[in-house]
Amino acid sequence: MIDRRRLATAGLTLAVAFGTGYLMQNGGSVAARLAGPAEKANPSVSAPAEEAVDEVKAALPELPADIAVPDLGTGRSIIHTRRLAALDSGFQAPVLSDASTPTPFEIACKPVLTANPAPGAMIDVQLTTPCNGNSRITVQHGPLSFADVTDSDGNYSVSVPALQKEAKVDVTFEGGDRISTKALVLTVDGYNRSVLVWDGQPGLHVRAFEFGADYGDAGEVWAGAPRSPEHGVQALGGFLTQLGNPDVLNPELAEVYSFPADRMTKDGVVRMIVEAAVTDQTCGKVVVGNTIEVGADGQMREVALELAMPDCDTAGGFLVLKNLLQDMKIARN
Amino acid sequence: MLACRTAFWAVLLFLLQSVTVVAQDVTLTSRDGSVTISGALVGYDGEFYRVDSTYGVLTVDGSGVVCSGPACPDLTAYIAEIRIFGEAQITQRLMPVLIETFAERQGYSALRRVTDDGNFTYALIETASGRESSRFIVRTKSSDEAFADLVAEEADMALSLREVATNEVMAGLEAGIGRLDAHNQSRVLALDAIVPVVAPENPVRGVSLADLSKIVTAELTNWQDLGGVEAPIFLQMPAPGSALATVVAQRLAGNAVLAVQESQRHDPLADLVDIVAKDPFSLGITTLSELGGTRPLPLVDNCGYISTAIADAVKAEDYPLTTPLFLYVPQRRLPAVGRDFLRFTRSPAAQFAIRRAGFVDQALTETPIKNQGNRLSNAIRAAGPGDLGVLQDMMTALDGFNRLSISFRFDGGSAVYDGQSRSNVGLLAQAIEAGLYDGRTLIFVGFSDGEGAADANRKLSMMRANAVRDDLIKQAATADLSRTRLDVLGYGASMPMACDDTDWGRGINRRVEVWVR
Repeated sequence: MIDRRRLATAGLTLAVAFGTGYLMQNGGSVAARLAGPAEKANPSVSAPAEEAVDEVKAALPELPADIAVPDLGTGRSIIHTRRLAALDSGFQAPVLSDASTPTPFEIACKPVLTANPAPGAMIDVQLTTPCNGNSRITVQHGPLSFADVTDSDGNYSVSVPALQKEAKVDVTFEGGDRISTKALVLTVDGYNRSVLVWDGQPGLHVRAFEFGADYGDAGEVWAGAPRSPEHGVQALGGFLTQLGNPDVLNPELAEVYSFPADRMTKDGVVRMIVEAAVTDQTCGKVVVGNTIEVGADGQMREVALELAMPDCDTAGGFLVLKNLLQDMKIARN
Repeated sequence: MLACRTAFWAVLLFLLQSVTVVAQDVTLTSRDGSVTISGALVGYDGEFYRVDSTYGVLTVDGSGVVCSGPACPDLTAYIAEIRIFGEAQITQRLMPVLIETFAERQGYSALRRVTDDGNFTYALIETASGRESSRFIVRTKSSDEAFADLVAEEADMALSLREVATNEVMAGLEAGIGRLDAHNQSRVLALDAIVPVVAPENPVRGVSLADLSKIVTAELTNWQDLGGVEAPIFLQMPAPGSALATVVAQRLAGNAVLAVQESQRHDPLADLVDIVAKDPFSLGITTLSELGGTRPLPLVDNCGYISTAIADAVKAEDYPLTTPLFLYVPQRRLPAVGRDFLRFTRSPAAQFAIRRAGFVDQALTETPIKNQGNRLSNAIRAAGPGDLGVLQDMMTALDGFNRLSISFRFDGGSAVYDGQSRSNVGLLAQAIEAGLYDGRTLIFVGFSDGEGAADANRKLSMMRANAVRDDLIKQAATADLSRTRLDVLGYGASMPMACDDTDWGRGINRRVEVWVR
């Protein structure tokens, strides 16, 4: 009930703005952010803002029938909703996935999510959401979750390491709307996986040292030397997948190290390290996230994590954690 | 309970009449206001206050009193805290998996709050309400420090790679935390073993314990002496002062100082095995739980027995260099969640977690006699003319039985057993109390080393089997022993598992096995 009233308030604010023509004519900062640069105006991506307005209209009992739908379209709806949120703390981003409502340009708004198995026990995720261009989305695969942004056409694709054979993938939009799909990833059993999910503080990394490798050696796998799933497919060693976008609002990031444990021809160990740079931005703060480990037995171990960064007088160093993720014991097959 | 409390209050009342109470940080007042105790609050476990008063440390049932004063706990926001201090290998490798599994089993979700590798806390959170109900505070410390903290009541559990020392037991007694070496205050949490390791391509296939001793004391320094190439042995050892270095010195060097250069001492063991794996001229001393990419060297002896550090051999103590991971608790009552955790450590789920963390668990498993072929052929090969008849008897008696995964080992010429064996009695007693062996027969089969006359040895082996059975009956106090048959047999030195020409070989041979049908 409260939500609805807040939505109505937000809508009313907008309607007044539309009615006076203030929004489009005034060069003030709010309107400028809402309108965006003219050269980016693109009919096919104008929909999100339009959708939002439709929803807002629905929440208002009486809206003048002759009101012209303004073209707010800029393909920057993420900024748009963010600005609205800033205008009204109670603002709820509108629900954008009403399948029956076409955009003014007759493109169905219904988002389409597909997931297909890919080499390296990966899931190729494809999202098409024409009415949610440049929107923040959260992608979830069980306890593995991260935030990213769709492109200006509302498309998004990502390759996610599967943690389970029957892999469910959810995408959540800003308003809380969610769509799900599934993929069957038969090669999951062949891979050990170690995952760090965190709230987007910069400077955190997972590092894997394969078979006695040291910093800088070829056997060190991390964001600076991630390799590709092909490396795993060919049983040459592990690979790292970085997920999430550090530039979105409230970033959620993840790093996944995958190792093809079932096809190794030597015994040994992969040492797992989580490294956190202690900077002026991160010192004294608490990193919130979770760790996930999938062993050769297919058992998943997931734990919530709060990592207390060292005090600011130690800024400039690194916090190296050798026991947050278990070392992977590799037995020859 | 009520009567007991009334009596307690009566005694206190008497005491209070003659003593002026000095205002301290808590005051507990009985519901009727007639009795008060003041003192420093030592602890509150959700049920009981512990107050260091002028009468000493008193434990007071919280339901009977009202607490006032600055140190009173907030009863509604009470969060049980269990402080677990001890060796890095146990706190950092085993505890996380164990606590997480415990949380899951109890229906909590676990939140790990990390400061660094050696300092972290698990919050157990009620899944439905999101309320934090308890905390396991884990700190990495040396065994010495952990015992000191236990005595000072700063820790609730101490994790150690060695047994508690006599002076620590005495300090504990004096501090009123009970007898740390008593079986209800100490337990073996899991097992590990000291293992000599080499690079996979190293041609040497085995080492005798005698040679290993000489290597760690720098009396033997060339691979040639081990049947390898003419090249110096680079010995890679655990860091001095580490618990493992101490245990290695005890077990392999008769407490002699280990002669190793600083460049060849490593902490953590992960660094050690990484170096050994890459260097064919290195020989490392590590643990079974941390082998990395190295190859373990089996222990060989003069009679051709080979002992390999595999889980079954460690569990049965057939491998001579097993190292139990000990857990010690004070006598005082732990918060309910702490008691639940202790109970959990013996459960099948905990044994699974222990294996997962890379240690050897203590689950009781059975091996059929047909899988004991290696031992039997060894025994037949080593048998003297009189022994074959004994072996025949034994095979007839044990026909259809399985060997249990645990056994009991003794000091020379006695029926006094070692730490791991003491813990094994507790494990077996608990299993019998739980009815796991209802309707079955357990035979305790004693063996001796080859020192002394055959007759005396047979008697001695029988005596040991009896000692184990008696101790078991004592510890399985709540068991209905009419449901499980407990027999004893003794076969002297008839089935050796190692050469009798060394101390450790004789130690391996002096044992009681448990067979079950």
